[in-house]
Amino acid sequence: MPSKEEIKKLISQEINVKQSEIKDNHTSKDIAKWDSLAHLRIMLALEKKFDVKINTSKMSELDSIPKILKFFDK
Amino acid sequence: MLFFSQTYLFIFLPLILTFFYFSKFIKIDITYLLILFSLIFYSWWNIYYLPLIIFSIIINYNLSKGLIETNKNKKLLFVSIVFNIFILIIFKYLDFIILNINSLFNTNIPEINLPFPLALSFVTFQVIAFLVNCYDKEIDYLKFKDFFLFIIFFPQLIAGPIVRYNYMHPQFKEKLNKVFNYSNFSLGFIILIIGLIKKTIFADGLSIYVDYGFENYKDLDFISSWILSFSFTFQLYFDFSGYIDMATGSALMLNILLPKNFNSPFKSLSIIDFWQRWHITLSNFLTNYIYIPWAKSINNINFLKSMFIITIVFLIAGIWHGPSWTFVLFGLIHGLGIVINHIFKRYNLSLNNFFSWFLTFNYINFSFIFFRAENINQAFEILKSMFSLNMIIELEKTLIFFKPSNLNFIIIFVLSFLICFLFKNSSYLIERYFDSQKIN
Repeated sequence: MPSKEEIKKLISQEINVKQSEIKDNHTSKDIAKWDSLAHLRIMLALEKKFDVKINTSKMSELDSIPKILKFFDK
Repeated sequence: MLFFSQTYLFIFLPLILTFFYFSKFIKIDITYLLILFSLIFYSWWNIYYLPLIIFSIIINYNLSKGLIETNKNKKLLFVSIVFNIFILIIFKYLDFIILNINSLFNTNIPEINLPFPLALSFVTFQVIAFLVNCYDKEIDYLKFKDFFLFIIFFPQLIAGPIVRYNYMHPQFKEKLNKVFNYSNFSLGFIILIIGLIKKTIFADGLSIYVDYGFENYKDLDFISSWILSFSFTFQLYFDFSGYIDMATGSALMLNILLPKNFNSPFKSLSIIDFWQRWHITLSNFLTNYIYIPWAKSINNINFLKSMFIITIVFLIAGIWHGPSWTFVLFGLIHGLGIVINHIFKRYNLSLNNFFSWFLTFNYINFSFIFFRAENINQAFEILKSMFSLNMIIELEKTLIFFKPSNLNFIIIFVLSFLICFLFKNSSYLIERYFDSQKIN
């Protein structure tokens, strides 16, 4: 299971934002650059890096750091 | 049956609420009760639509069973989706296709004139999402009566919101939702009344001018054409969001919370923002079930390809609203707006908030002319009047609309601006209430 920092790092790379600017409880609404296009990139990157399959209908739900962590927690 | 009809408000709704709250004493299964009432609601308009929707429910139930029992059966998913789109095309778009073939190839194929079954557009999208959920194993167990109710539940049946099975089903099953809940009831009632006011006072009040203006569009001058376009923009919002409020209110009185569909859309600062505030459940459907799967299926998705997909998705959204080229253009205008927004974002260009709002609202306002116009030519004629500056010469024409007898219209028109731009909305009311519940 990936750590919180790993996930934040991946997101920061995908959307070009400093990792320190992404807080533990942040949602896509808190980060301007995390828009619908970026969201898909993040999801695809998560799938690739952690070798998981995220269902299409699940993807839109994983729009915050806590939700992504919870998804991996299962 | 429509929500603002007397039959609904004074007979149907009181009856279903009574049966619903007393179902425990008369020992009726609430699912069957809601299905029965929904069927009556649906067939009130025209009973001939009923066989098609029941046929669709039975076929889709069996298809979804197949998807649940098999493991990621792509072929079956494909067949299921095609089946639903095929039905929609036959009933909604066949004449439009024939008309275009005739004018393209100079043929003379007669139009079929099939009746358009109420709710079919919404049901099609809702079922497609459901089938994908079954394929994705988000749904692993299904009873026929639960699926039936999910499709036919009368508050959201005719005009949305488009709901997801996993959002609705637990609410239908929850035991606490089967007993009278005074706060749900009173909040639902208030939302219902708000919707009724939006629809009957605002939307209908504005429609008198809108209908007149679109009929006599050749006589419009600068001022009257702007008033016309704003009036329709507000009419559409009050009409649709009023209807959704009445759906939400009715459902809440039955202890069911429908998802939010509008969130003060005219306060949007971009077209992207607009689609997160206008017909939210449609945007969610487009994103989750068309945009994401399509973008995922493409290797090396880049900015250009995403923009292309977005444009096509909005083209689909446009034509989903109705079989006409005006709706295709409506969709394209919005697709283009979103693409422009993304380009701005990509290159870190930004405008100040007021200017962003001003541009966005006017862009939406122009796009709605295409939504209402009977043909593209009419839409462009109205746009032409809006940018013709012969206002002084034709002031007489404008004054016709400001006769004292139209005082009502003027009041409603001014109030519409205030409400849409300054007031909080009904979704806020619901959210604040449920947030306060959580804290308690």
